[in-house]
Amino acid sequence: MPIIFRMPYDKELEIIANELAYWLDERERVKIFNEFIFIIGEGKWKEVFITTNENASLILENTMISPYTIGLTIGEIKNDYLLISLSGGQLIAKKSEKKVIINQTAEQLFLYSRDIHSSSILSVDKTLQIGDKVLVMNEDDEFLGIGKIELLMNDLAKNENKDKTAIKNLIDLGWYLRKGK
Amino acid sequence: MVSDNAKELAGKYGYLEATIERFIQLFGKAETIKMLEAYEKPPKQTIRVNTLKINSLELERKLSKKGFILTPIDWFDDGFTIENEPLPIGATTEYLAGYYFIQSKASWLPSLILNPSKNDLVIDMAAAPGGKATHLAQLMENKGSLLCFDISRERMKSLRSNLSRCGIINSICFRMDSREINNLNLKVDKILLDAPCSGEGLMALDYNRRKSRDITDIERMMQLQNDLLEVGLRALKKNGILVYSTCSTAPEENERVIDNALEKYSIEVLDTNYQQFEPGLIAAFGNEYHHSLRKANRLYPQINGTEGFFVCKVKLKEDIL
Repeated sequence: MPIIFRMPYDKELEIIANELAYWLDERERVKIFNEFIFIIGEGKWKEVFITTNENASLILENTMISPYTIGLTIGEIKNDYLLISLSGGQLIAKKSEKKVIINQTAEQLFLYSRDIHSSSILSVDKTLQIGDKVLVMNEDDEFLGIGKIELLMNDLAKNENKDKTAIKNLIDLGWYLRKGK
Repeated sequence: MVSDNAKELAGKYGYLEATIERFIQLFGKAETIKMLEAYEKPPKQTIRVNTLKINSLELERKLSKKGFILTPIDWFDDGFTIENEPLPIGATTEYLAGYYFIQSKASWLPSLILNPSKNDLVIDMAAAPGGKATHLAQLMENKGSLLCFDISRERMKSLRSNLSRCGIINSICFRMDSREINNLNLKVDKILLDAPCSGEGLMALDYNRRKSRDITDIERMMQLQNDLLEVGLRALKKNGILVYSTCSTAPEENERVIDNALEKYSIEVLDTNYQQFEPGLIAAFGNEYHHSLRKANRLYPQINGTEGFFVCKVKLKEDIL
């Protein structure tokens, strides 16, 4: 199925803004909207890309051009939500407060698709609730992937929880080795 | 006619006799032996730092902390040779984060020689899996437009993955035969043509090539290379630059391809400004090539510790209509 690349509709821009609002404060969101051009690639899936002005002009002004992909995919729009991709996570990781920092042992396991136990967590945004998404970082504050909170963050320290899954692995950088080759 | 020397060396190192005969005619017996010895060992792994994400000093510090021993490259600030790896260099968090690309040092040259700027419109005619494309994007500071072409569905997936891992936003990828680029009616500033080739320079990495490829493969690839170069030149603006490279030492895939184009089109061969590498050939197997082909570069395993490689920079003097 050919992918049609176009500028986002207002509704899609709203979906992108809503997802960014979950992760970033207003100042950072404005910076992203000012810095990048958003493009929608619509085929079997509806993906959101960021790219340069020059690329956007090239594909929008030249009907002969039918690309396979453009710039960086920051996520997929599904059921009126933007599901952030690995690249999207990397884009916002340094600017977001919604993050968890895990130890070195858990880092290796997480990169092999494993979930994160309470005892591996070094620090976390305590406002996060069960079901919330979170950026998973290593001790050097480097992005490793995206997880979902499965345990109340205030209960992490309880001894009975130390071997429980606190954060479920949604996607991790190991994908580049497992699927991206 | 295959000489006794060629028969002996072919038997000893496991090559086709005709291949060794060609090497002896081209380089002489002593140099051929040095080359065959060098092809017995794969070159050391090298990495190129993705300066869009991290600087060389910081990456060196991180990898050294994990027990990697890196040595710098004298002609490229953002490259390292891996002298020791406590774990596979392609399995670190730093690799997955896109801080570096595992790439042979010879493969850095085409992008460095093309040297695109952030204002350029650039084409990479055979872009997958993305080593040179990510390097071009880096040199362009992730700005402007980098058009990447490849025909293979599988290779396109790995190209997309590598561009994503390295955080490249200025690329547009096309899954199509590069020979159809002219149908897009584009005229661009710079083109990288790292042409499909016989892979004669990769004998250290792929032993099968020693006996599976012969002169018919070289001649078949030469035809494709001629076609691709013609398409590339047609897609260039006047005064645009094209860098042509292969991982082959066969003159038919290198100097002869450029020589053919010099006869047909208004182009000139430019200095690569990498005089530390061997010059291109101006004669081989009884054929003479344009004298300016000396400005091209050849890399050899026994001299440079790389795969066999060729790179040449040309400028289009008059637009091809």
